[in-house]
Amino acid sequence: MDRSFPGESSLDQIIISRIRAAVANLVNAREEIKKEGIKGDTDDSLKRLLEGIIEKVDKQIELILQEIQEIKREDVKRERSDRIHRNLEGFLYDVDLIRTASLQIPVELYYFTKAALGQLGHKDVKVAFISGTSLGTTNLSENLKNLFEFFEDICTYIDSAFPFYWIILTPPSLTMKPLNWPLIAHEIGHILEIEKWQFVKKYYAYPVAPSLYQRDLKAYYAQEFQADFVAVSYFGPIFAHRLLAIYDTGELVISLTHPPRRERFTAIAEKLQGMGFSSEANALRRIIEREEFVIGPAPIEHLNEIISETARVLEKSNSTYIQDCVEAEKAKNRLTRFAAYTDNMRILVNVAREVLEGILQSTSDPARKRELETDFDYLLIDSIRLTYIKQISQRAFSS
Amino acid sequence: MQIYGISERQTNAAELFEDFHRRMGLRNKISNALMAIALFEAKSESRNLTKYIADGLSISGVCVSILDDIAQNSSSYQYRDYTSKVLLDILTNRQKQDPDRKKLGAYKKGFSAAQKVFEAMQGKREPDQEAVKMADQVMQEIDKEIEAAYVSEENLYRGSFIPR
Repeated sequence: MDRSFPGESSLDQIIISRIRAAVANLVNAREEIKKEGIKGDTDDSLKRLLEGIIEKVDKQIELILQEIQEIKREDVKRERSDRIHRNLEGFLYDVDLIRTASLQIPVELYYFTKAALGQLGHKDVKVAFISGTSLGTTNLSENLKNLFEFFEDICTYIDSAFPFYWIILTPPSLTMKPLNWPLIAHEIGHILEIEKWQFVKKYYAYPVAPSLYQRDLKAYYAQEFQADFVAVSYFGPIFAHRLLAIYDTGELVISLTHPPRRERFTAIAEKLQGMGFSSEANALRRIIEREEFVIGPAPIEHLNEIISETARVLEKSNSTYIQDCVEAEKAKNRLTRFAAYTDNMRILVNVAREVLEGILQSTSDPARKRELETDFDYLLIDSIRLTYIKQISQRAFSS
Repeated sequence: MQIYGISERQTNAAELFEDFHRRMGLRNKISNALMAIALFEAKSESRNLTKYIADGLSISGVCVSILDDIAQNSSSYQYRDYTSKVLLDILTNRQKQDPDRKKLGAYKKGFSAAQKVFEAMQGKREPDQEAVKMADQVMQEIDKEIEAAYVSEENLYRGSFIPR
C-alpha cells in the first residue's frame, strides 16, 4: 500500500525548497536595507557589506544545493540542511539586530567616534553601534565569516572589502548621555589593540572565553589598563571623571574581567599627572587612597612594555589631549549661554560637566533641574554634530 | 593574583555574540568535513570539495593534537583556543569533572582515522572504508555534543539583545 501523501516531495526536494525559501527571506532583507538604509551608516559601508554578502549567498546557494542532491546519505543531507538553515537564520538575526538595535543610537555618537578614530590615525576601522545590556565590543567582520564557512568567496569578500568592521554595544545610559560618550574611547582602545597593535597579544594570548585561568586574567587586565591609557590620553580628565562616576553610581555594568578600582584609577592618575593635569590627578588620588590595592601592578609582568608601546603609537598619531585654557574658557562661556561650541569635541566634553553643574545649581526645583539637564544634553549633541560638520567642510575646502 | 571568582556564566552581550559565531564556525567546519566524505564517496566534481577536504584535514589534525595534550596533562590542561575549549568542555562536562578517559580515547582514535581519510582524499586515493566509518562517526558525535553542551548559551544569546 502506498502510504505517501499525495504530491509528497522527496527529501531532496523538501530540503531544497526550504533552503531556497530561507534565501528568499535574506533577499527580502536586502531590499529593505536598500530602501531604508541603516541608521548611523553615513557612508553606506555597512549597507554595502550586508548587501554584498546576501548577493553572494543568493548566487552561490545553487552549488550548495546541487551538492546535497549529489550525495547519497540521508543523515548527511539532513545535517547539511540544518547547518545551512542555522547559518542563514543566524545571519538574518544579525541583520535584524543591527537594523533594529541601531535605531536608538544618535547619529552624533557615530560622528563622535569617527572623529576619534580619525584623530587616532585609523579611519579605516568602521564601527556600528547597537543597543545592548552592557558596554562591549566585538569584531563584526570575523563573526560574519564564521557563518559563511560554506561559501569561500564570502570570507574572501569580507577580508578584502571590510576587514575592520566592529560592533560596539552600548547601554541606553551611555547612548542617551553625551557626557558619558568619552567612555567609548576605552572600547576604541580594545579595538585598536586587537585589530592593529597587538601589544598585549605579544605577551599574553587573548582569552577565548571568560575563564578562571590566571593566564587569561593577566591578558584581560593588561587589555583593560591599556584601553584606559588610550582613553585618558585621548580625552584627558573627563574620561577619569565619567569612569569614576559609573563606578559610584553603577550606571553601567563593569564586568569582573576589569582590574580592581584602585589599581585602575592609580594608573589613570599617573597618566593625568604626566599630561600636566596635576590637580585632577591629585583629586583622583585623594578619592582612591582610602581603598585597598587588590592585585597591585606587579603580577602583570609585561604591563610596562605594553603601555610604553601604546604610548609610542599614540604620540606618533599626535592625538594626546592637550590643555588649552583659552579655548576651554571660550567653550565654557558659550555653553553657559546655551550656545553651541563647535571648535573641539574634546574640549567640549571636558568643560561640559563643570558648566552643567553650575547650571544645575541655579535652581533647587527638581523638575527644572531635569529640564535643564535634558536641554543641556541636546546642546552637547548639537555641538558635536556641528563640530563634525565644520571639520568635514573645512577638509573639503582645504583639499 | 587575587581574582573575584569569575565564571563562564558571567559573559557580557558582546562575548555571547562572539561565542555564538565561533561555535557556528566550528560546527560549519565539521559539516564541511562530513560533506567532503559524502561528496568524495559520490565522486562529485563540486569545486567546493577541495575546501571541504582541507577543512576536514585541518579540524581532525587540530583535534588530534589537542586530545594528545589533554591526555598528557589531564589535571593541569589549560585550553589555548576555541576548539580546545570546546573539546575540554565536552570531556569534562564543562570542567565539573576530570576528562572522561573513555571518550578521550575514542575521539583520539576517531580523529586520527579522520586525518588519514582526508590525507588520502587530498592525494586522490581511495580511503580505507573502516577509517571512513570512524571519521564519520566522530564528526557526527562531536557535533551533537557541541549542540547539547551549549544549549543554554544559545538561548541566552538570543535573549541578550534589546532594541533599546
